Amino acid sequence: MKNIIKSIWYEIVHRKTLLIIFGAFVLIMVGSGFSATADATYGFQMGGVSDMLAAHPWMPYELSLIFLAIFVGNVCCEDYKDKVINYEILCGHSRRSIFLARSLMAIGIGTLLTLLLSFLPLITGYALAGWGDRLSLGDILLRYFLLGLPYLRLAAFLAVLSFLCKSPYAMIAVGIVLSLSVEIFADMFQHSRSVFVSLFNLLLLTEYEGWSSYNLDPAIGVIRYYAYDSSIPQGVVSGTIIASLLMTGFYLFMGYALFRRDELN
Amino acid sequence: MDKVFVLLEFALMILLVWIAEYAVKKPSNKWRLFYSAPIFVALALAIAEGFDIYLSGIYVASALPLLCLFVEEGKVRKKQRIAAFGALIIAAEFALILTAPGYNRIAFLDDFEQGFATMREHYVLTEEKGIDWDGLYEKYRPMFEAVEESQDAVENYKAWQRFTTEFFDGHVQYLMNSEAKGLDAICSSYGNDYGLSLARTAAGEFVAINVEGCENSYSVNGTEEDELGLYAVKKKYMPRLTETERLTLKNAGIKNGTVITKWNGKSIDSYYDRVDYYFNQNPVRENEEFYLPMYVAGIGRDMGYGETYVPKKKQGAFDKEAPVATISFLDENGTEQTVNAPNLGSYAPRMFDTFGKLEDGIKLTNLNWQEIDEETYCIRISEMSYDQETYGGTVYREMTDQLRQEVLALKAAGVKNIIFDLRSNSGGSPYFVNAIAQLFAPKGEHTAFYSAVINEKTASFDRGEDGRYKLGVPSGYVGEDLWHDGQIILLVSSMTVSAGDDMVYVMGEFPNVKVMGFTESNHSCQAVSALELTVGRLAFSAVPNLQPDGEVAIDTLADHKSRMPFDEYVPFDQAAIRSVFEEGEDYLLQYIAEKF
Repeated sequence: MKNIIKSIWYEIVHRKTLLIIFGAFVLIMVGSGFSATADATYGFQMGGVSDMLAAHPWMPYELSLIFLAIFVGNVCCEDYKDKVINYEILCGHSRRSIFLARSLMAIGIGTLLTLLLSFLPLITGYALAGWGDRLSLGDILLRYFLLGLPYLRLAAFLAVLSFLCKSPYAMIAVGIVLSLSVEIFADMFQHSRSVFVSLFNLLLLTEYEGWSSYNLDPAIGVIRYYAYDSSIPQGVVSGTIIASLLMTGFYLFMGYALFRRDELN
Repeated sequence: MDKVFVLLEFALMILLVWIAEYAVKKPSNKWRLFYSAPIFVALALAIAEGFDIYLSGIYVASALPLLCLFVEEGKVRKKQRIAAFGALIIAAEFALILTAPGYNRIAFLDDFEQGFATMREHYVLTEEKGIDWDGLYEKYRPMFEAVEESQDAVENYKAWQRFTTEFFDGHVQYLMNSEAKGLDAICSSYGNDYGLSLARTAAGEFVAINVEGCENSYSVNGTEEDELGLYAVKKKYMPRLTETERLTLKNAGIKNGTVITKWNGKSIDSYYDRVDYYFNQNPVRENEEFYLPMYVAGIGRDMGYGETYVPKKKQGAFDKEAPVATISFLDENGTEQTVNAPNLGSYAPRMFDTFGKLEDGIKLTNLNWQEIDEETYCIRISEMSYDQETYGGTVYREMTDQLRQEVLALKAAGVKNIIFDLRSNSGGSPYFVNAIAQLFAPKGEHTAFYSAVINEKTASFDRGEDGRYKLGVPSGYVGEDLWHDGQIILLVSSMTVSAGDDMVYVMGEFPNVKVMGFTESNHSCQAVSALELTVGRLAFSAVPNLQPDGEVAIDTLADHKSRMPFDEYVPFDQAAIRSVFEEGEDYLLQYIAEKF
């Protein structure tokens, strides 16, 4: 398994496509952080990046989920194309080690890179506009690091899908569907939110309780004001940890169950 | 929806039992996908309905088929046993969710707690209306606990209506999210229909109005579609009626305007104490008293206020359980007679129709004119909005310019009087109001305070040391006095509310303007915020609208007294009743046109 992990690591580091895609997502996240912060702070004049994060709660993951799907799909499916998986079996590697090596690398590195992407809008906005006072920095850092857990679970789920569909291109489509689902989940399924569904879990970690009101200005008309409580409920923290670990384990089990007798064609 | 998912899971398990054997005969890599299908269905269930501890069996059962992937290919029985075991769990689960009282419970009490806490913190008229929050909590918490226990959506509606009535503020409203359940709750909360509404005339007599069987009055058999949509659900409440039963009142001699002396043997005003919630809030005491008899008309003999009988499906015309109302009235000779009026269905549709006949303005599009006679024109203003683009802003130049041209053209044509039909004006932008008022206002600067100083950190309006809100940036306009030589009447109803109230407040003081109606306008003009709850939506006054001295404008204070311009009540008398409920005429408009 160690050798397979090494070979996958080598591929990740040297595969130009992956590096270009990651670079593109870095630019996208930095760019969206820049424009959203400019928008929320009236051109970096008022407030700070916390205003942007409050106004765009889905910013850290709405686009980066596409990268996660592409990355997991690439790591898990690419070797079906050139039959590397078949050669690994012929060389005497067990199916378990082949599955685990691929899954763990895809899930682990995919999660880390996606988490990194999630921080980019925050870092970009912070560098340009400062923090502001809309949300508490400590609360947000905790919330953002916790995002890694639902990413982990989602990556495991994506690995299962990858082993089912065996196509990195299909996984790009899955990523786009996931990205579009964020808004649908946020609007249509407000009543059914729970930490056990990773997209809901992401929403629970980045949407803030609070009160909003408005005032009437004779020149502008309606101006909205928001007061948020960015502290994170204990139940969401523990729920995120427990649900993510449980579900990651379950998806790995499910993925292996599907993989162990798969005909690999 | 959850039951559909559970049945789908069950069907999948049965399919897996069959596939276990079939897959041996026709081997394919694809069969294994079926073993993961139940878990994807369970995931879809969790997304659609939320994770629920009562559905744990479904989650476990849906994961079981994955074990089949570890079973050797030829061991069909073992795979079948696993799938059958899964099906068994799902069947048990189905029985559980059908019978468990705790499953799918609606969080009525949580809604109350959230709504109450938010209003307590952000309702802007606490001091002015003398709201005792602790007292309200003590009174209503047990009521909502009972609702939570019973899971009764109708009682939830009634409890919220009672709660919102405590504020005598037309902007405090509760609406249920589900349209169907909301309509059902309305139909189940105002008693039964005994074939009439009640009103009190200007002379102090209680009379029958909107009587079943009279021309131009509401009929339970009518096919007209009301705005609320009550027509769609009213049949559920209607018993099978013979024509004689339906026309009991008419046959007994009761018609629109007949004096009603007793209701179930008691005077009508003796029921007032029982009426503890309304369909619409009437903050002004006189308006409230105008509409109170209307609510009494739904109370059956030996029944409480709001208690509504729903016929059981199998019962026919002779429904022994159906309530009646014993109505005493004066016949044409002035002799008191008594009749037992049968239940014709839910009272809500007739009550809503009565409101409409008394409240609605002329059926014209917003800002359109109607000629009354050569000297008098009426402009309909049903809402304070012009178009989508201008609504959130403050600039209504296009509308003002257009209206200016129209007004000048009328002036040139020799028109002397304008009626502003503001009946049932539901409000909108105060800047729309100013943009119209400026044409008719006396020359010079006019100022209004639609904003107070907001605490940006808490998004709340803090009060100063004197207990008043701090004045924000004033809005202003310059009066053009275009109608200096003419007269204007603002025609209002109790549902002229919000920015509709504001127009009365702003224009009512102009020297050539009179305000008239059967009732005053609503008197609720603080701007509104709404809170989305699980079952409904709670709206309340959250942004202050101030007078120049810093006191809140327009809304009634704890004494329920009007603080707005109002010049003349149009007498609600026999002539008005005949005109509205017998002839189907717009009596108010005719009356005030003659007043000029």
